[in-house]
Amino acid sequence: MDRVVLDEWHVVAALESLLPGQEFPTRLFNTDLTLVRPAGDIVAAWPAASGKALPVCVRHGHVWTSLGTPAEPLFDLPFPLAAAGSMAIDVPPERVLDAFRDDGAVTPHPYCVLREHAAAALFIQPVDDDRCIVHLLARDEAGRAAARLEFAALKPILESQVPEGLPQPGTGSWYPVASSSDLAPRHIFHTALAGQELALWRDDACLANVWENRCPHRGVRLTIGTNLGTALRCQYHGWEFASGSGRCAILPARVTTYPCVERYGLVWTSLAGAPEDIPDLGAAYWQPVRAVFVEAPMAEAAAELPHRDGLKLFLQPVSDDRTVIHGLSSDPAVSLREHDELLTRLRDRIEGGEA
Amino acid sequence: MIALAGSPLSRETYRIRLLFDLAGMAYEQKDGPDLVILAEGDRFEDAWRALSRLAPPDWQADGRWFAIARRLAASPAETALFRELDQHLWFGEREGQPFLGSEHPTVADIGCFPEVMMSDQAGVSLLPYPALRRWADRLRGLPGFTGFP
Repeated sequence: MDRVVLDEWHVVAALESLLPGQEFPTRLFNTDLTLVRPAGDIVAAWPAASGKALPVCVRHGHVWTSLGTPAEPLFDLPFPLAAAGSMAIDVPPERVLDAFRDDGAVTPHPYCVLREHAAAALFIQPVDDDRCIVHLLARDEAGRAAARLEFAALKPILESQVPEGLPQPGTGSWYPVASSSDLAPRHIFHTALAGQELALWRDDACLANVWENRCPHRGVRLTIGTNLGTALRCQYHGWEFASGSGRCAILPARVTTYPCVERYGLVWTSLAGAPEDIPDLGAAYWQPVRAVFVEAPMAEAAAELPHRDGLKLFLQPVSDDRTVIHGLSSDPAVSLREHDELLTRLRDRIEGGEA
Repeated sequence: MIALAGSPLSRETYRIRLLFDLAGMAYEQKDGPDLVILAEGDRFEDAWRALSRLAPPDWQADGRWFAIARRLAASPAETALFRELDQHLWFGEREGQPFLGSEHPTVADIGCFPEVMMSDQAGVSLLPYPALRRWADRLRGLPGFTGFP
């Protein structure tokens, strides 16, 4: 870790959550810590793995420590603030900072945000690489309640953000990722291909879109947004992205789009390169059967696929251990219910590894 | 007028409120820790009995799907229930029944909705259940719909 960050003071608890005489376990930068508060403002901290005491200071109603050697005293606040509650959140500390740094807030410390206009502050305790504890502060009781409510509303949105830079499969093939009828009017269909989450939607002119399920602004899933008929609106900040291009109407931002072809009643896409052709099934009338989701790797599903006249099966690798079986029937004598029975039995066999 | 008291954050209160809102029934919301429904002296303590007893005739549910809603509320992470609902709804979309066992919404749909809506937060992704996601969109689009606070 960066020496400068290591040598900083870091918040590890609200003072009021330490009961005199009781050990308080917590964690900072992947290191388990134990805190004790013998009396009043006297607090001691040490790493669980060794007995060597860490530097401690108690300020702004919170306990601060450092895994390095702090060179300077902790920052001052322009007005007194009181602890308003601490919440764990499964998001890297940097992303929490991003979410709160928006509107003229200042950062007196790499992991603290002071919002002077709201008379509130946020001290972030980095717990692990992708987890932190957020300590909220506000001036009065109304401000403390508002801070808790605001954070409780934001927490699920931040936690639903998709991390950037997922590995891209090098597959140059077309895969079916939905049936055409899955893309209902004004609906956003949610699926994934080789670990890449996808948001599929049909605009009011019937054009289908296959997009990365990630708003380029803050990484929020687009599948929790709204299909406006001509554009998709992200739930978080309301950015809108146009059907076809994926371009934001007002800002220079663009959703990652993938090629999309509707054929034989299925929606096909490819994540990389110049794909081979979609399989040519001839001129027969093909009717999609209900796709079946299997909790098993594609190779295991492939080994079990039956061969039936009048039924073509295709596999969509959702992730390393999940697969969707898509089917097309050209035999009108076999009902969709019968095909469904066949495919659900197949699913149970693949998942159970037995009859 | 019926008075509904209960924590606004409880799924039981939300279910009853959703019925009142979607069916256009007048009621008065009061704060209170436990779910209590007061209708001219009546007091129902079982939220599920209250749901079917208070529902107007056109909101009464097919018994099978109402029972599944109750099972889902009891075990909101059971894959088999989500699969059954998704499969049923997929065929329903083709057979003129966009709701659970019905062409119009009933208390069976209302019964299932909070668990389905909150499953993402509970760590159960709805990605494997596309027909269930479309059904949830249909419920959200009904006049009078109110979200969970």
